[in-house]
Amino acid sequence: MITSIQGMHAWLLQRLTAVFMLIYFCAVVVYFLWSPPQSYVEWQGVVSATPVALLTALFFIALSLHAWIGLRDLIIDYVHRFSLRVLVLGLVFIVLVGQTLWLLLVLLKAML
Amino acid sequence: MEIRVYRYNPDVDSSPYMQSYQMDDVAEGVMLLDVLKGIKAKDETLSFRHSCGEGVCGSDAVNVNGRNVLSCITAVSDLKQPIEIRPMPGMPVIRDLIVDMSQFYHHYRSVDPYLITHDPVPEEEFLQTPAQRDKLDGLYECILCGCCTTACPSFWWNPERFRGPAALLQAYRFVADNRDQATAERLKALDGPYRLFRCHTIMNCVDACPKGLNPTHAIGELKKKMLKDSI
Repeated sequence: MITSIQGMHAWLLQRLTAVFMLIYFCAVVVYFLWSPPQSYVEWQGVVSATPVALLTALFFIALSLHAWIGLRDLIIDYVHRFSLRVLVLGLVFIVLVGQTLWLLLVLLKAML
Repeated sequence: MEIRVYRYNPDVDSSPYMQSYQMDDVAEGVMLLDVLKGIKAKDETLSFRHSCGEGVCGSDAVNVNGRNVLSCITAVSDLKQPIEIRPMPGMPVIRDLIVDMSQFYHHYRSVDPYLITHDPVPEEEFLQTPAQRDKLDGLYECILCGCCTTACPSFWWNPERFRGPAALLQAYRFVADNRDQATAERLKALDGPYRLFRCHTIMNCVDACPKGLNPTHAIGELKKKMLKDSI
């Protein structure tokens, strides 16, 4: 379970996701600078291409994992009351899982 | 020269307060410890720790104008006035500038700060190459004053579970030592969300260390070693 990742594994996962996101982000910037889409249809065509959609899906999964570890660190540091910590962690978890599922759904729709 | 000193005697005071002292004729190059001694001569109720007076024992760490320093090697002329002296943050105050360092020593003890060998030890002495010995430079010089650990926000938020920069520097000092044979046990004892990985590389420890050591680098090396040994 992703919520139980801690210590060195969490630290490593946060760095790996950061590296992946950085590479993805640079690739997107280069694409927009080099040959920006001229129309919505062209943009939709690029995003719905399977490799791009898969990489974009991976980007948002990596973003959520990265954010989960980072926000959990903040919550561990600053929220000390057990009941409040569980509540805040739960809310963060729901928001991150929700946004990931929503983005995956958007990508799936674009591909179909 | 105005010196404002944190005062708190739990037997008498209901809460801490700042007391102002006027110190005149402070000569150029005088260290803060000498000024504190001067105040003590005027007001013997003021309590603070000190011993060697030359930055070796680490007894006289205090927070001056928001920074942790050793008062014996801090020149008064380098400080912005009025000088505000408080006990080191994040530790219970016993009285005035004296803090209870039990938690700090507990973390130090918990990293087993001594050589552990599984093989029989040599009859006379362990021999090291100069290169092996060089790896201990910047690690063994720690005087356990507590300046780094009490300047660390991660220690403030989790003082019972985060080992703190001083103890982690010592943990790495023995992991880096080729004579030690308990690296795996040491690293295993530091894994988990709190003991080592509460460090967020804030680097207050580096800024505060009066001996110019770099606990953040040692913590990074511990993480790297942990990663290398687990792959």
